[in-house]
Amino acid sequence: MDHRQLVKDCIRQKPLAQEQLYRHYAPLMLGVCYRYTKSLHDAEDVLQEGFVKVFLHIKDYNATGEIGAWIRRIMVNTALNYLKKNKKYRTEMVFAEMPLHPVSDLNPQVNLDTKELAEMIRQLPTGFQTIFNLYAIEGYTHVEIGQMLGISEGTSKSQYARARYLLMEWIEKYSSSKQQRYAGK
Amino acid sequence: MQENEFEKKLQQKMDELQVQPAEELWPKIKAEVAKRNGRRRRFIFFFLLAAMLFAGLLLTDIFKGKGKNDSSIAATQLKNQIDNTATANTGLANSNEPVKQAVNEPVQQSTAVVAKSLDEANTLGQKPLAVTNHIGKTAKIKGTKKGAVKMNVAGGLQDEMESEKESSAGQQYNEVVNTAVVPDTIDEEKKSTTKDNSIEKDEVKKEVVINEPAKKETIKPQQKTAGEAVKTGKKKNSNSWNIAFSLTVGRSSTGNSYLTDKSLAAYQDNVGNSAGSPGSYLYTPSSTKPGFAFAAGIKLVRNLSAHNSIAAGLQYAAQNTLINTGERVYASTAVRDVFFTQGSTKSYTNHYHFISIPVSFSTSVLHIGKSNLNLEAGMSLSRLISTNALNFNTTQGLYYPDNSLFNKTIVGLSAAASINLFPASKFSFSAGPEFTYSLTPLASAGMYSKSHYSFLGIRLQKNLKK
Repeated sequence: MDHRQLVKDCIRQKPLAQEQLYRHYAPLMLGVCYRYTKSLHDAEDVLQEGFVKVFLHIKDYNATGEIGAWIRRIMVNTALNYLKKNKKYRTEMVFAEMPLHPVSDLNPQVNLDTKELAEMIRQLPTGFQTIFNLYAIEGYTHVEIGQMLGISEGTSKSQYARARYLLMEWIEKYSSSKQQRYAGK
Repeated sequence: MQENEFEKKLQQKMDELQVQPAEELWPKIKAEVAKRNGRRRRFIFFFLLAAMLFAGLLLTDIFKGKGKNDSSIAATQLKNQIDNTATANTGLANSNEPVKQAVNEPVQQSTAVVAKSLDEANTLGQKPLAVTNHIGKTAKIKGTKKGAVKMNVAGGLQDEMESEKESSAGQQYNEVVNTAVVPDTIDEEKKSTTKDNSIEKDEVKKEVVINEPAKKETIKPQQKTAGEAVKTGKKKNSNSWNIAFSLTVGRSSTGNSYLTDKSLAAYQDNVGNSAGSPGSYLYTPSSTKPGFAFAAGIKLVRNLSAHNSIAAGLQYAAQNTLINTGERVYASTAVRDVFFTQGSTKSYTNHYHFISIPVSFSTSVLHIGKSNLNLEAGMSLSRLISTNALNFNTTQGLYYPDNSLFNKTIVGLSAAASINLFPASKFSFSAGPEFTYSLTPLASAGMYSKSHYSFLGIRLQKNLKK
């Protein structure tokens, strides 16, 4: 697929090109949205809003970068806005300053499959989940996260440390219970 | 190192995560994109429609004005015909060909603007012709080879008209005749052409003398119908659209007050500060202060009677309000969202730009000398064309731009009082306070959901025509 041509056609608002772009990126982007939300329905809402933004703002796309990365950034941003606006999430989007959690000694083998891991991330409290996604998966720095969420760098770090600790614990427990199940068989 | 490995593994796994969306999602996205594009197109369409409507009204007005000028020219030409004929009747015209040409040339040029019959009249009337003057009465001119002209005047009314010389219609007509440029020009040209000709000098002198009764002749037919003319004149005034420019400068607010900082009380009540549910709302936004605002527009004003008038127009308004924020934060996102933290270190100006179609009714309530005190009430339909206003997230203490929250179409009410300044001068204009208030709230949700635009200022209005 010639992405340049596809983008040009999307700028001209050709429905076929828009659909092609959507079909190509929707599964991957729904995976992104899925990690930020608590339900598939919410993730689809974010995806819908995100793609609407993509098609309305595609003329602003700087063709030097990869279109997939650009769409992904829009999805992340849309997801953050969704969390801030949606009543269900916004009460949990509280990032109180807390003492920095000591770095965990745990180093679990991440033997879980992708879906299991995603489910586990989604079990985190919304604030932890958001910061964990932004730092560990999207690759934003704590300074950037602080700027995006309007919190201090320290808050982002401490929240991330707690989220990471929780997740490691869960992975550890889940892996050991899985091993026990296999051993029992 | 361990930390990085964990994150690396996670990142790899999560990059593989794909979830198949429901099949009905694409039609929804397609419909939403079409809807939002449609909204843009609708806005452009309505804006163009309003602009075209406005341009149409303006052009109609201009052409009406031109029509008036044409009829004035026609009246002047009629006068010239009579003057020329009167000159011819004295026997001076046939004695000198150049003078006749000099007199007739400008008449011919101006006559080209109106009816063809007037062109024919410039040949000094080979055949009868009818000329419709500006008041709509027909004066019949019979020409002979010698240029004799007889006015078909309804007799018996002259005495009546003598008593009505002071009437406004008569004055109006006199103004038209006396202020017309063409006769003066013709006289000037006549004078210039007669410089080298002593006989012609005499002619000019005689013409000046002759012109006086000729003028009276031309006035008389109009004066006969003065009663009608008064009626017609009034009708014309009430039916015409006058153009007016207005400029309002003042202060705008999106809260309750122009002078104090209580404008967000409603929002704080709304979010409730969550006493009893700790951690739900930790932050309250800055109060909104009134800021500078102005509006400029063009209106078409129609007089319904001597005291009442209606107006409609097109107006641009810029309104500003001020809030305090913390530091500016650039989020590295594709849609260029900018955030501001809570705080009071910086002052941020919310700009709102509107295009509106105001409609108003005005009545004159008091006469102060030559001036009138007018009261005005109206409505307006406005479109928010752009804004940089920030919304506030109470859970994160963050200001963020989100124009989707703002209502784009706004219905408002307005009230104004004005007094005419320098009414006798050509620099006359009206000035007075104006207040507008939007019935539609600023936003459908968020910190401005209970706020309304309001604007208090001093309006200057200049009417181009009377």
